[in-house]
Amino acid sequence: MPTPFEHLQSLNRLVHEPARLAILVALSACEKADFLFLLNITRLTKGNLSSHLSKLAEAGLVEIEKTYEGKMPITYARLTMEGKEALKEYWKSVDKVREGIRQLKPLRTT
Amino acid sequence: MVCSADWFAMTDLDPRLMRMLARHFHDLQGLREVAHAMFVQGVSLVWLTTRRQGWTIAAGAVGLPLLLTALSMLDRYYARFGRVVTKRRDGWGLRFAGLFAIVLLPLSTAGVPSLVWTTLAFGALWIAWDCRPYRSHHLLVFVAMIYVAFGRVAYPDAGDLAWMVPRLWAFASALALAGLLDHRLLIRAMRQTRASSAKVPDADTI
Repeated sequence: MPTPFEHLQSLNRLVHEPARLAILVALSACEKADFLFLLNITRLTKGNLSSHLSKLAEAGLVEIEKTYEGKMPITYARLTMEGKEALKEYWKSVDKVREGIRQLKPLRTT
Repeated sequence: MVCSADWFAMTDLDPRLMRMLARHFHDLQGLREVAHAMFVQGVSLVWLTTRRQGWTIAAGAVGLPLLLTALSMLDRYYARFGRVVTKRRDGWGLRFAGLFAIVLLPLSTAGVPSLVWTTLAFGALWIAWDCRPYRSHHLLVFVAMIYVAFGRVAYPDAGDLAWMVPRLWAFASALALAGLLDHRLLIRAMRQTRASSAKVPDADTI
C-alpha cells in the first residue's frame, strides 16, 4: 500500500503550484473567463498570469481563445477536458494524502 | 521537492471564495438588484401616495427607461472586473419579466399563500445555502418574500392590491440590501486580490 509520501510525490506539480491551481479552480466553476477576471481573482501580475496560462495551455489543460468584442481584444481561457480530469485527479490525490496522514499514529517518545 | 517555499505565498487565497466568485460572478453584481429594487420602491411609493392606477402605470413608464439606462451604465461599470461566461447564463431579462409578472398577474387566491412568491423565496434560500457562508444575507430576501407570499392570508378580503405595497416595499428593501452586500463582497474580493498581487512570486521561479 502506498505511503502518504508516495501519494505526495504523485501530485501533479503543474496543478499543485498555487497560482496555477487558483486559475484551474476558477475556470472549473465557469465555462470560460477572460484574462482581466483571472488577473483580478488570482492576485497575479499580467506577466505572471500570462506565463502560467502559457504553461497550462502547453500542457493542454487550458485552451486560450482570442476574440474581439467590438474593437476591444479579449483573451478568454477555458478548461479543457484534460484540465478537468487533471484537476479531478489532483483532488483525489490530495484526499489520499489526507487520508494517509490521518492513519499515521504519532510515535510515543516517552 | 513537491512543495517549495513559494507554495505558501498564496495560501491566503480562499479557493472556495474563488470558485464562488467565478460561479456567481453575474449574481454578485449586486448594484443591478439595487436598481431593480429602487424601481419597485418608486412605483410602490407612487401607488401609496396617489392610490391611482393611472399614475402608477405612468410612474412605471417613466421609471423603466431610467432603469434600463442604469442597467446599461452598470454593464460598463462591471466590465472592469472582467468577463465570465457561465453555463447557466444569469437571466436578468427573465428576472425582470418575472418581477413584472409577479406584480401584474393575479397574486394568489384569497387566504392561500402565493405559490409564485413562495417558489421564488426558496430560490433566495438556495442562493444562501449554495454560497454559504458568503451570501447568507439572502436569507433576508427569503424572509421578505415569504412575508409577501403570505400577504393574502393576512388580508383575505382585500379588494385591491393596497395590502401588497408595504410588503413589496419590504421585499425591495431586502433585495437592495442583499444587492449592496453582494456588491461589497465582489469589490472586497477583487480589491483584496489587487492589493496583495506584489506578494506572489514570478512564474519563472516556480
